[in-house]
Amino acid sequence: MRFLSEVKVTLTNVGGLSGENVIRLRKGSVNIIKAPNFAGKSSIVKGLAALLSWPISDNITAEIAQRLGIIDKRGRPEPLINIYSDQASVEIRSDQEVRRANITRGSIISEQPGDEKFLITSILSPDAEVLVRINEADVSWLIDKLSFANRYEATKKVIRNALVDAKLNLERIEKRGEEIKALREEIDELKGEKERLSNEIKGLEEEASNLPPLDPALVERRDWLTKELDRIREQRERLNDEIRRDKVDIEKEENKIKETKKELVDILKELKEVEAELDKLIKGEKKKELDEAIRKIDDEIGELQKEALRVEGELRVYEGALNIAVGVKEIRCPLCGKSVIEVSTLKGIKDEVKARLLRIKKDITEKQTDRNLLQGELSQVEDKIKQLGKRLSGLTGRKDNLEGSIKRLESDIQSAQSKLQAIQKQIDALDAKYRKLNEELEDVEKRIGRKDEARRRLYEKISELRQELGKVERSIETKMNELETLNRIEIEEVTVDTDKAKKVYTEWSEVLDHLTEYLEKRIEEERLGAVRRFNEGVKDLLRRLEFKEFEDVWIDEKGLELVVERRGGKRQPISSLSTSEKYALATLLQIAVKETYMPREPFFLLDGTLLAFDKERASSILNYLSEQASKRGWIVCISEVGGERLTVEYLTR
Amino acid sequence: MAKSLKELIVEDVEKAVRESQSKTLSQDVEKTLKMRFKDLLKGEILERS
Repeated sequence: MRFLSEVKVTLTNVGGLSGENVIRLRKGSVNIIKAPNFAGKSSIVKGLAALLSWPISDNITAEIAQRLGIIDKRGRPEPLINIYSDQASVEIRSDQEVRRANITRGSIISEQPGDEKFLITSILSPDAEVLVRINEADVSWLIDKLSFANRYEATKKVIRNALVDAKLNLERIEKRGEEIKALREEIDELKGEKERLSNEIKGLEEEASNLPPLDPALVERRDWLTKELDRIREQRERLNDEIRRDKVDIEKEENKIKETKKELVDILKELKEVEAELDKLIKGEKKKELDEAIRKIDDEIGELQKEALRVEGELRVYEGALNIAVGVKEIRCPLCGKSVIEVSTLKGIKDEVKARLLRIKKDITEKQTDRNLLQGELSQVEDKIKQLGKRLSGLTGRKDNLEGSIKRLESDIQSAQSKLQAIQKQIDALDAKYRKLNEELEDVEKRIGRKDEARRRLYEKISELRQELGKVERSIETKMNELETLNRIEIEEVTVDTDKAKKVYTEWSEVLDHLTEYLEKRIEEERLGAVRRFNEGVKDLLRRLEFKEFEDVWIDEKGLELVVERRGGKRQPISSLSTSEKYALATLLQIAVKETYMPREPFFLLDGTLLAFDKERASSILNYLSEQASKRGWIVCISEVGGERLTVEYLTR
Repeated sequence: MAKSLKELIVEDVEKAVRESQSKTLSQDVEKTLKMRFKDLLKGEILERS
């Protein structure tokens, strides 16, 4: 397939090029950019490389960009700008698209982002990474950069850190679980003690009831008081359980509120952003500018069309006059009808008018292309406004729902808290009643005891045991509260019980383990895939370029090292190759890298590298590149010293 | 059928690897993890409480 469309490259104040410089390149061709030294050949390469690779974020590509003179040490594109100017621009204009970058000292602004891999794959210059690193047999950097392996590696690192955190949290929760277990055992022991004391009291009370009868009224009062006190204790315990349960419920509701409020904050933030964006689009300058620019272009097209009609009329007059001027040397001027004009002069005038008409028509076509681009941009802005409006309405609805939920939850909590207060009041009342009745019971028992020594001792013992029972009960209550606190754990500002926390972190650790395994598999697949693709490409290239000094060149799949084999299967370390062989190997690698990893990007830039080869080899490389350019629609640019000014020669197969 | 957390997180990470810029890749993956962990926690608190 042959691609021969023209690509217009405009570089303004780029590097050594001052003012606007236009070069015309051909797609499907090798474009040899010839110029004397210091005439801006490298600035063309730099400008194109910047446009096609920006933004640059990776360390290795940033180093290459620095070496090529695209950015300075701080990552700013200052070296690209001509020293007598404050800004520069690069534009590539073809039939299909316009790519443009405006370069200021701080940054490059380009609507269509480039691909920073361009700097590794598509430039061969003395500063190219492949050439700089040719002595290292290890090409893992290349494989990792050109595949997704290094990105998976970076991701794996993040996952590993998250996994360490999850495991630490799990350990913390398990330790807490052990503390809870110990506390539960203590509570169980205390409950056993409580049961033992209750049984002992019951036994002694039975013993007391078997003693000879006393004042029946006192006995009746004592029995009633004992039962009443037991009833109060049970009731108090029930109410305390209820309080504990209600507190857990309130906590759950509070968690829900926290979650909902967080979501609401996100929604409000998003809402604000969308509103601001919408406001900017509706009230902002962009739409106005586009409308204005389209109106202006329409006016210009209108003017040009009028001009075209006028010139067409003029042309018709000249053509009509020339049609009838057969066999004569002079005729009357077809415009004024008075003076006499030579036919040859009239032909010259007609050709000039025709050329003018073509220029006007070309201008109209260019303006219409610009208008279509602007119209496209305007439609995008209008679509964006519609989309944002829809999003705004969705977000507002969600915001209202969340606010409603928060109000409902807050009201539920308020009711629950009122209920808690009421229960606490009941407990306080019961405590007061208990104290009063207990005093009365002690008094009754004393009165009973005074009449009988044995009975007195018995009741004293019962009273001691009851006090002990009270202590045990209070201790159980304190420990139950401790257990409740210990059993709650805070994760991401939300409180959950330890069982749930353990479940969450166990599941999370499993997910992260699975993800780590998946990433390891992907890293291996990416590396292997990239190596195999490269090896297939380089084998074919070696044969096509007739590099007879190497029998075979490949990357070892396991060690990711470049292997060079001489005739007879003898392997040679790269560092021991001669300088010209290293150069040849780097060229071979660079072309293979371009073909394998970035064949769809048409630009391939060779700056000053072919000078290193003898004529035969340079010609073989040129022929090969020319064939590839024609086959793949590439725009191969080769800079060469020569001529008196900057020119472009085209080599097409 | 609804996707499992393992499947969802693999999808998120793949998206970040393919689409994030090198400079923000780690941050983007961290954000994804945080979000998915919160989802897991939220599910545990709100649905199973």
